[in-house]
Formats: sequence, structure tokens, C-alpha cells
Amino acid sequence: MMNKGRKNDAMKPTEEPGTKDQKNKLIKKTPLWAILLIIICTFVTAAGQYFIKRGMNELVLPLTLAGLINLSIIFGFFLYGIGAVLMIIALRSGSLSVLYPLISLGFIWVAFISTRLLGEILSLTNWIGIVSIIIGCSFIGLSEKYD
Amino acid sequence: MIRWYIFGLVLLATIAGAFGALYLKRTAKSMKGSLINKILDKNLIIGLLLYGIGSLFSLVALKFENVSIVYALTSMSYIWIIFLSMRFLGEKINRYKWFGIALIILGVILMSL
Repeated sequence: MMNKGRKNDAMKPTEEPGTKDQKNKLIKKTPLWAILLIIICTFVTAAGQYFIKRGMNELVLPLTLAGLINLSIIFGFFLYGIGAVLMIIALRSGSLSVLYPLISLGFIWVAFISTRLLGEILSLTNWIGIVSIIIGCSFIGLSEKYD
Repeated sequence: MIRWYIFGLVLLATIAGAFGALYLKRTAKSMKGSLINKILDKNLIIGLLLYGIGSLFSLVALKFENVSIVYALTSMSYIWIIFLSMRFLGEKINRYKWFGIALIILGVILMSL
């Protein structure tokens, strides 16, 4: 119920025409390649997460630091690193309001990969939770533009 | 229902990660001097250390919980980053951010059930 109230509140346009115009001028226009790059970045990061989880599943208890030297885990972190570099490049030439909502696509990819390839089970409640998180992240990104 | 210690691990991981990001941001702002100076930059070392600690916590969480749950819970870091940017970088929280934070909290609760 509380969320509904907040939603209406957030939907109201802010009435500061002067500052809004100035702000929109400051926000860079996002080139298409930056958008494509960030989408690739979410794929790579999600794949990295998959390999890290696969590596962790292989480990035997008790956990040790030496145990983390595992091929899947190292490859997963390598993919994570590539994802981070791609994200930094994209963020430098695009605006957060466009790229942030796209970054949160990663939550969907991880959910799909882990249910298809790792046999994890997500309840309907969980899926609604993922959608809620994605919309939430999108609003944080959009706050830059509509402040 | 997620086990409380798994939730605690991810919570600590996201807080450490958010502080790490804050220190890295400070590094990016203050970077100057020779390569050696850059590598030995205090903020950079603290930032990377915090990132490392955060990664270790989330790795342990991944061992005992599904990645679909753990990865979604890491979205909590967005919340801490907003609060830390307000406190230490003077960035403002507008109503869009508050709404986003509320939706992430709702999502995290739904993922933990």
C-alpha cells in the first residue's frame, strides 16, 4: 500500500523549467554503440556469475582460500573483469538514465541461466521480486534525467 | 525462506562493495603524480581491499545458496551507494531515487521469502 503512495508521488513532474533545461543540456546523448556495449556487458557479467557459481559448486567443504584457485571461478572472475571494463567504457560516453535500466537486465539473464543450466528453481514470488528490482534500478537511473 | 546467515553475508558483501566504490571514486578524483604514486594511492588500496572482502563474502554465500537468489540480493548495493554518495559526495536523493530504493527493498524481500 505504501508503495502505491510513493509511486504517485514519484510520477508527478517536477516544476522547475529553468533548471530542467539546463540539466538536460548537461546530460550527454547516449550513442547506439554504448547501448549495445552495455547489453553485451550484462551478458558477459551474467556468464561470469554462472561460471563462479559452477566453480563454487565443485568446491568441497571446508572452504579455503587455496580452494578458490579453481578454473571455473578464475574464468568467471575474468569475465567479470571484462564486463567491468565494457561498463566503464559505455558509461563514459552515455548517460546513466539510459544505461542504468539496461545494466539491470543482468538480473534477468542470471535468473534465466541459473534456472536453465543450473537447475535452480524460482517461485512466482521470486520472479516478481526480480522485476521489482529491475524497475527499481531503472528509476534510480532515470532520476538523473527527471530530477 | 533464505537462511539468515546467507542474507547477512550478502548484506555485508554489498556494504563492503559500496564503500569500495566510494573509495575508488575518491581515487578517480584525486589521481595525480607518477605511476608509483597512483598504485600506492591510499584510497585505491582501501577501495580494492573492500571490493576483495565483499567478493569473498558473496563467494561464501554462493556456496550455500542459489545464484539466482544471491545475485538478485546484491542489488542492495545500489541502495548503499545512494546513501554513501549523499553522505560523502554531497549528491542529492530525489523522489525517483526514493521510489527506486523502495522497489529494490520490495524485490529483496520477495527474493528472500
